[in-house]
Amino acid sequence: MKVSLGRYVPAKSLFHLADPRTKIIWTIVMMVFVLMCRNWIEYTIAGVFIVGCFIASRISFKFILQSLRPILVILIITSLFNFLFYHGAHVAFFIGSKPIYFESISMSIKTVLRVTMLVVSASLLTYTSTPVAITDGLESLMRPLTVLHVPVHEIALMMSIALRFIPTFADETDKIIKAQAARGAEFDSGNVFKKIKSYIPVLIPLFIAAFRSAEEMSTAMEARCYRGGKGRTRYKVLKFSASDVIITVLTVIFFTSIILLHIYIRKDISVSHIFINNF
Amino acid sequence: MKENDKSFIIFDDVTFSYGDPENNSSEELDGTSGNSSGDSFASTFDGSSYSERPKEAVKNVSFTVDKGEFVAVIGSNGSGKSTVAKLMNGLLLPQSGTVISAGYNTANEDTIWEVRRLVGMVFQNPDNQIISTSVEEDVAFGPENIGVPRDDMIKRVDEAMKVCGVMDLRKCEPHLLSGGQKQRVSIAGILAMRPSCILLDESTAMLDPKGRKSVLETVKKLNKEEHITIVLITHHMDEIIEADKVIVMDKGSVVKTGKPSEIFSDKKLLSDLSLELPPAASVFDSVDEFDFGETVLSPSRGTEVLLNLYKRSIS
Repeated sequence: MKVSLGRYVPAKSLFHLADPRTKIIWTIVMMVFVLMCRNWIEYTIAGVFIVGCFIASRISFKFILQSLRPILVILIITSLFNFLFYHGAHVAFFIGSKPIYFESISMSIKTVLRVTMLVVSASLLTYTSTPVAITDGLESLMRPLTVLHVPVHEIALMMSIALRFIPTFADETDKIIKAQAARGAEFDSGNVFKKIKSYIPVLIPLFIAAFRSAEEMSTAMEARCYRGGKGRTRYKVLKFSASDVIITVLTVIFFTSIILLHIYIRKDISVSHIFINNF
Repeated sequence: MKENDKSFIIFDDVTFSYGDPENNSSEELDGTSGNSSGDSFASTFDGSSYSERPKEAVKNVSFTVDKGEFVAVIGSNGSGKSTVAKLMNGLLLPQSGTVISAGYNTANEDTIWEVRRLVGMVFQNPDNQIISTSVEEDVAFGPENIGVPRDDMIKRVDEAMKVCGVMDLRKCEPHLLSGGQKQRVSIAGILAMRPSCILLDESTAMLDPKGRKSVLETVKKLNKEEHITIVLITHHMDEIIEADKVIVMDKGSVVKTGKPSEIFSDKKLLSDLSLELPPAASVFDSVDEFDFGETVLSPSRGTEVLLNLYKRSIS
């Protein structure tokens, strides 16, 4: 059984080659600025930038849609609420006796765009970096926290061991399911509760196996001189490359343009204005 | 360092039992130590002896392992052979007697990490000793722990992977490897720490014949070319043929020590411990009518013996 971890899509692109730390910071910056966007110019800049990044990452459009699927319901509900209940000054049309404003139309579109951009920029990180790379990046970024006695090395080690064992335990689960099925266990009959209950004979041996593995692994680690993060050197070192510089420069340009727009254009340029001016 | 010239590991009248409340390290390991804890479990769950103190997993054991030697430890389940291995690198500490490994007393806390660096250990289950998410990082785990500078580490890791024949797998994820490959990665991981001795605690027990062969070949190569002391703990009789010395254990004590041929010619011992002869040996052994004049252990030696006989018969 082959299990793929995370949602990593292998490719060679600007984003794939970049350091995970750059991508993590990029994601955080994008999220902050998407939330800061107010008017249509800012939304357009943010949207163009994110779309540009996605093209640069060579992730196919199919995957972007896939990442949006889980939040589809949230998108529909929030945009519907905004559409129906947001109060503005300019009535566009009536549904029955309920007035729909230009502002509410623009608001619901903005909400959809905002949530979409948030999710898409976060998924760019997970599509272009392996979970191990993300762990390494987080460890490196969180290292200053050791001053505050945050066990950064231990957290990172736990994460990477967990990642290492997911496929192993997936195999183990597969074996246990087959072993229990051979003893006459049924896994796909009855209602939901019965189905959940039928997995107990799988989970208990799995837990026992996991505990045993943990115990054996700690002995093995001790035998290989592991004694915590102190005095440890590192084999794998994260390095910034040209692609990191490119991403950083582009992000800084984006960053400043949004900030400048925020300062100079205070007035909300919304659809209603454009509509009204044109009418 | 109170190391004498030849001996690398010295067991002096060592006794150890699991489940002794005074010994903390045994509590930690109880229940996971496989074969060796079988004894204490048997007595713990045996109704009649429930209140008795668990009997010793290892009792008054004394032996030495010389530098550069290939030593095999055999014995059936519960004979204490895994406990002996864990005593060698200080994962367990003896309740009485002393264990001197690489010149250091394993009971000395100041030098325990030096002992573990010099005496590496490969365990039985290949899955539970690979820590990192790729082969090369796992090989680097030991050197990272002992603080080897990065440039030196890269050299060591490459060397170790080359010797163990896992160079092509360096970027591989561990769960995609076969059992034999995993064990060779583990050996490489120990080798990268530049040890003087490698303990293999039933490391071939969970492997298929092909994987077993590859691991044994690697180990033999290390012994011959790198002069690394090997302690091979096993219950496969055919693995001990090429050992310099065999230590036979039963019920926590050493029953016999000697060359493989001496062990195999001791019919009473073999039948008492229900140990099986390797295939070639049992073929030659089954010929009662003729005395070959020696205990034949391997097929190649058997061919030589037969050829000599043939030559003698025509001349």
